[in-house]
Amino acid sequence: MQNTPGSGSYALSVLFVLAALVCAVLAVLYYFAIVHVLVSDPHAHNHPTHAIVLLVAAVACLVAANFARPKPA
Amino acid sequence: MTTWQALFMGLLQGATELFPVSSLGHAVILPSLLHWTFRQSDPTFLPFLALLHLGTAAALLILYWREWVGIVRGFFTAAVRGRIETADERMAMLLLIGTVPGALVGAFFKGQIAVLFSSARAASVFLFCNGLILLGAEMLRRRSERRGVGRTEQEMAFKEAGQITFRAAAITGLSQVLAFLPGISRSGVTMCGGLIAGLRHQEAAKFSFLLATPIIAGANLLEVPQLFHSSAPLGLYTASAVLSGVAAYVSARFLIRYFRSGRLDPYGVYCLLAGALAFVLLR
Repeated sequence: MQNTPGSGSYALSVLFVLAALVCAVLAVLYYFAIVHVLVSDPHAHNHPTHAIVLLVAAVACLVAANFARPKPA
Repeated sequence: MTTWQALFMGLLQGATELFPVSSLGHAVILPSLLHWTFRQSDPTFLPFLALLHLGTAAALLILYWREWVGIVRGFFTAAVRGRIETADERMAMLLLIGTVPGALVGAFFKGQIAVLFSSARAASVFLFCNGLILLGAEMLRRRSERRGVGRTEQEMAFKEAGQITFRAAAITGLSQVLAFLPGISRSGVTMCGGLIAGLRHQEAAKFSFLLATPIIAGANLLEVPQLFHSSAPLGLYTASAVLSGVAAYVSARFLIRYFRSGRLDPYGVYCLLAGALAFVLLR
C-alpha cells in the first residue's frame, strides 16, 4: 500500500481502475436485479446488499489505484 | 416471542457477540435446548436479530469513538493523497483491506452457507470446532513466546494492532467468512488471525472489534427497515437492542482488560464442552 515518491506502477493503477469500473457496473446490475447470480431471493426487485458491497469494492479499487500510480519525486 | 424471550435474546446476543464463543451458534442452539416455540422462519425474526447486532455495533462505536474519528479522517486523507503517513491512515487502510474481501464473499455466499448448516445440531459441531480453533491458535502462539518471563513481559514482545501487515489484515478479514457457520465465532477467528500475525492478545482483540464494527453495522442496517413494514413489537425489539448494546459494551470492556495477560484457552475449553454437551442433548 505504501509507496515512496517516484515508485509505483502505471499498469497496476490502470488495472485497479478497470476493476473499479467492473465492480461499479455490477453494482448497478445487481441493484436493478438485472443479474441474479448468487442471490438469496432471485425474484426480488433489487439486491441492495450485493450492490452496496460491490460499490464499496469499487471505492477500494479506486483507492488502490491512487496508491499504485507513480508519484512525482 | 414473549417479552422475556426477546430481552433474553438481546442479552445473549450482546454478551456472546464479542466473546470468542459464537453468538449465532448460541442463538441457534439455546432456543432449541430450551424448547422455545417461536418460529425462527418468521419474517420479523431476521430483522430482529439485525437490530440486536446494530446494538452491538453501536456499543463498539461508542467504545472506540476516538479511534473511529481518526480512522475515518485518515481514510479520506490517505485515499486522496495516495500515500500513508500516519498511524490512523494505516489503520484505516488495514480495516479497508480486512473488510472488503470478507464482505464480498459474505454478500454472495452467506445465504448458501447458512441454509446448509442452519440446524442446532450442526451449530453444536461447529461450536466444538471453534474450541479447537481457539486452542490451536494459542498452542501456535506459545511456540513463539519467550520462556521464563512473566505474562506481561511475554506480551510486550508482540506487536500493536496498527503494526499488523496488510497481507495478515486481509487474511484475518477473510477468516470472518467462517463465522457464517453458526458455532464459529467471528471475534474468535479474527483474534486467532491477529495472534498468529504476531499481535498482543489485547491488540488482537482491539483489531477484531474494529474489524467487526463496519461489517456488523453494514450487514444489518439493510435488514432493519423491514421491521417498520411489519406488525412487530418495535418497542420491545428496541429495548432488546439496547440491552444487547449494553451487554456488548460491558463485554468489550471486560475482554480488553482480560486480554492484558489472559488467553483464549478458557473460551476454547468452554466451546469444546458446550458443543459436545449440546450435541448430546439435541439428539
